[in-house]
Amino acid sequence: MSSLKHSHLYSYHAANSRLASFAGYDMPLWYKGISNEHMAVRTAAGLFDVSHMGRFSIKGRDANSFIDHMIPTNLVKVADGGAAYSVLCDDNAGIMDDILVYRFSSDDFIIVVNAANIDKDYGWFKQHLDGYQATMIDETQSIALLALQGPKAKAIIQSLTAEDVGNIKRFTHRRVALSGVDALISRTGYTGEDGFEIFVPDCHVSRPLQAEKVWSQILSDFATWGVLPCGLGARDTLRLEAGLCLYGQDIDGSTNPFEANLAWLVHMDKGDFVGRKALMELKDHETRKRIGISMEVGGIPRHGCEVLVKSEYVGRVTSGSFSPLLRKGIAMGYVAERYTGEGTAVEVSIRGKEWPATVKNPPFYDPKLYGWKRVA
Amino acid sequence: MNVDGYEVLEGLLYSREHEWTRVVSPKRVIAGITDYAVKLLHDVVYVTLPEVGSEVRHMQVFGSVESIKAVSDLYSPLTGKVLASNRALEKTPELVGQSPYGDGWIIEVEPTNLDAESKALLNAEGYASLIRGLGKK
Repeated sequence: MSSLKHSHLYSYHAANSRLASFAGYDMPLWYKGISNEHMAVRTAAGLFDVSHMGRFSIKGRDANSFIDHMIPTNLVKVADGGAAYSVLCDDNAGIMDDILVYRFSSDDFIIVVNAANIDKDYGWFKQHLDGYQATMIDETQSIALLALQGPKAKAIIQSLTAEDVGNIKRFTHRRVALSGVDALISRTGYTGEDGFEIFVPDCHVSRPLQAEKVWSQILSDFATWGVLPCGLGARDTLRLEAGLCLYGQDIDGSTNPFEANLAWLVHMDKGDFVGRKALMELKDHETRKRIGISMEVGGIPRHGCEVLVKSEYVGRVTSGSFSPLLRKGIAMGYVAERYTGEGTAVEVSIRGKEWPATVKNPPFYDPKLYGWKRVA
Repeated sequence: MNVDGYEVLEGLLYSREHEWTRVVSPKRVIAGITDYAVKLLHDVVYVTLPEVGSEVRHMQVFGSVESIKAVSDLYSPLTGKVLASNRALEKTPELVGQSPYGDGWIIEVEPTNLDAESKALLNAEGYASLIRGLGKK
């Protein structure tokens, strides 16, 4: 039968959601429906099980210098209790994965990687570990990972702990007791909204009781606040509205950080790192760039659709969907450099028909009304 | 009748691709997608309709319905000329989900080979067994 792996909250998903296979895991696509879940995150809060993502712990005297060597981003700005978004680049500067690096101290880190890339990334780190005094352990099975996202996330987390969580700023984290469960909460996420990712350590997938406790407490105590469990369907539409990349679609081994609009992650002046030579050669030579595309009317753009200007091919859609918030089609894709300006009129060819669209710098929503920068 | 939680109406003809057909008269049939199709798709957010006057062919694609995640082709149960398509779905595609056999109808066709082609379609009982079979997979 199914050889799909199970995440920590699998029993809940199996009983309550439409399951779908994703990166080798049997994961919830939706519970009540993608639109409802999406809107819960934009207006209240949504709870996700993201335990399918890979967690590696890297410890040892050289842990900081080892990780710094593996990514183009300078870790110097990441203090104890801080986190950073970055990418892994191969020797040709192709993006191997996008990752989050959590620092506890200079000799203690957790790295979160995409589920589909766990084995590849683990091998890649191992391959470069020689000469560094550091050890690496795949903790994916032994740490549960949840995400509570949305404008009400902070108030919810606050009511579950005696610690003041208001001073956990974006991209920082802290160990707290959350409904009596030892947890690491991090002010990060993948929806564009304010929120927390919740690591439950010492919680093996075969004994997920602690993670289930946090999960069910949030869902039962805050149902009246509009909190919903959310599946991967809403996670995808939320991250697309926010303009965040999905590995395997918007970025992969054939894209480099410059054309992916991730140049802000590349700090050439920090010293040598994996992929630096190739990145040096590519810098300022990109011929295409990742953009957002907002449909004017009609069709819903999908992965692979061609982007045209006056019926000439200029690029391709890498992620596209119906936006539950804006009630129209939105997309990300790569187009030739000269068509990347915000407001540029393009067409998207959808199932044989060309539809008018406009280049839009994400997020697609009004940041004064939605997202973590919203005006309360 | 209710088949494993899906509504199947008596008196309609059904395709294996989950379209229903109501034969109003030998010159006029109405078609849409079944409650089963709607529940499988979930969240219908967009429908592509054919032009009035265009030709549709038996079990050939004539349009599409889209959920947030996916696109599904629409197959015409019968060959014929499109008399009308449900323009209300352009503004409110969710009608398909709310009322698949009523306000969520998709096209009206003047069939040209009704007798022969309708033999290839299922009656309510046949379609019910098809759904029951799918449920057991």
